[in-house]
Amino acid sequence: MRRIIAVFAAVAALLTGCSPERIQDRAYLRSAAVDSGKVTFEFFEGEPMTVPAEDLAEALREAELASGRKIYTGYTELIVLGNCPAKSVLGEMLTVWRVSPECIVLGSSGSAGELLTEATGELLEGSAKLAAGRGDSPESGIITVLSQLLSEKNTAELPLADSRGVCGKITICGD
Amino acid sequence: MNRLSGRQLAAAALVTDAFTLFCLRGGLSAVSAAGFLAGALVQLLALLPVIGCISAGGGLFSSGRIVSGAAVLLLIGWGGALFAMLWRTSGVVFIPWESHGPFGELLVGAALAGAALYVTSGGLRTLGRCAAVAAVIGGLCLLGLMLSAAVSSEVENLAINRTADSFPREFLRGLSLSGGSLVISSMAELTGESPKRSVGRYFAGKAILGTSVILTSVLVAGGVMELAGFPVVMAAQLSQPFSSQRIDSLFLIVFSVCGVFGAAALAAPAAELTGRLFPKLRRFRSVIVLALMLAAGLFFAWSETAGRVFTIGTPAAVFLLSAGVWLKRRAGA
Repeated sequence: MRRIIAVFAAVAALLTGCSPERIQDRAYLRSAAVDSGKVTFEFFEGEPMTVPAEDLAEALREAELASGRKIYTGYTELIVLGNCPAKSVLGEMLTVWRVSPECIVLGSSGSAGELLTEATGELLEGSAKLAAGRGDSPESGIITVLSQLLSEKNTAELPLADSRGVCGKITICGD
Repeated sequence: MNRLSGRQLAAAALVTDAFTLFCLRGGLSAVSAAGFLAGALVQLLALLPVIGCISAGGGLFSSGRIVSGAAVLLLIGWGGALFAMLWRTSGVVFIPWESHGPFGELLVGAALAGAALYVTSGGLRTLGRCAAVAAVIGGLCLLGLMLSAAVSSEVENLAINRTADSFPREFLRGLSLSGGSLVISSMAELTGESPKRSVGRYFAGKAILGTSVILTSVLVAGGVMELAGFPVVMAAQLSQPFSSQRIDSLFLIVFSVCGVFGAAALAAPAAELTGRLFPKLRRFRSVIVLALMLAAGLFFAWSETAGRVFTIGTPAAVFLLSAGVWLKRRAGA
């Protein structure tokens, strides 16, 4: 039995991601807004920042350099889409950034980055949840939206947001 | 030689299969579950001569040097395939050392081989006990994952069927999940119970395990399957019920434990047979076998096609090997 316990302990310690890292060495992403050529990051602490970037990988690198910390994207709660290829952006966020599957996606008629800076992720997320709960706007979890975009229709219906919160619906195309 | 019970053997084989299921790549659909079941059925048919051999007096363990040597090669090859799967999958399940390039990947393999060596060196009885504990813990964790997955399941995902998910392709993929049947065929004669019962218990467990894991993955991740490099891993990552919780860390523990005991389940009979074939190497048999498995793993990691051909061909090799022994015995009788 001692051998069995030793094996389980060794496996848990060596192969299951336990590694020393201080919490203050990381910036925890709360919301992201993606426009053509720029990405806006909002963290659980601190001011939002906008970085010019051609793709998400470059945006993350630039934001890490600008914040001086590694960015952890696994708790991301909200994505606001502006003028960008929705399917590839959301696909990369799910598979590479590994955002939370509970993450909500909103559409913006203008600049998504400006909307996120003006309204804050907390307000937009709360508004989206309330509107969906009342049946005023469609469910827009990242899995639901990506499933629609990956289907033959290649479109998805999203809640449309402005600086006061969710104000309607918008249909986006995957490309 | 120490023995293991029929249930322990089934647990060891199922743990091996569970690991290979976690490492599945490419899209899954309801057709995949059908392909998996058909593949398992063919594996069951391939094991019929093994049952005949054991009933007639001895299986792969007691059928001469050539048969034992071939069985060792198959076990080492499958161990290599398992290590190659580990290296391919470790990046998406957040094993921390994997990010250190090829050296990190080798370190992950060495850590897993070291833990497997520790289990194997204790003999088959230790392996049996470890596998039983791992199967119970793994089963409970999988049940937890499936229950949390039920919350985020979309039943309409079962109807999604992409043209790539053709039945022959899925059948071959099901056939390639043959590590557990190799474990059963090599050790069924050591349990002291009827080989029919051992094989029957194993395949019943395999059908339940495989079907439930594949269908859960389809229900959770079917809509985004196109993006899923590793669909079972993705389903585990998507099935967390709360946004502040990472249930994939629970999956990571199951993944690592199944990897260790899967490697040990393949290494233990290979080491036992190696010790019989080469008595002078008896002291270092486990180290030699695991080192050869790592080497085979490097080869299969380099040539993915070779690994696929090997895992698909394993049931046929077991069939030919045991059928030869069986026919020879009948002719002799």
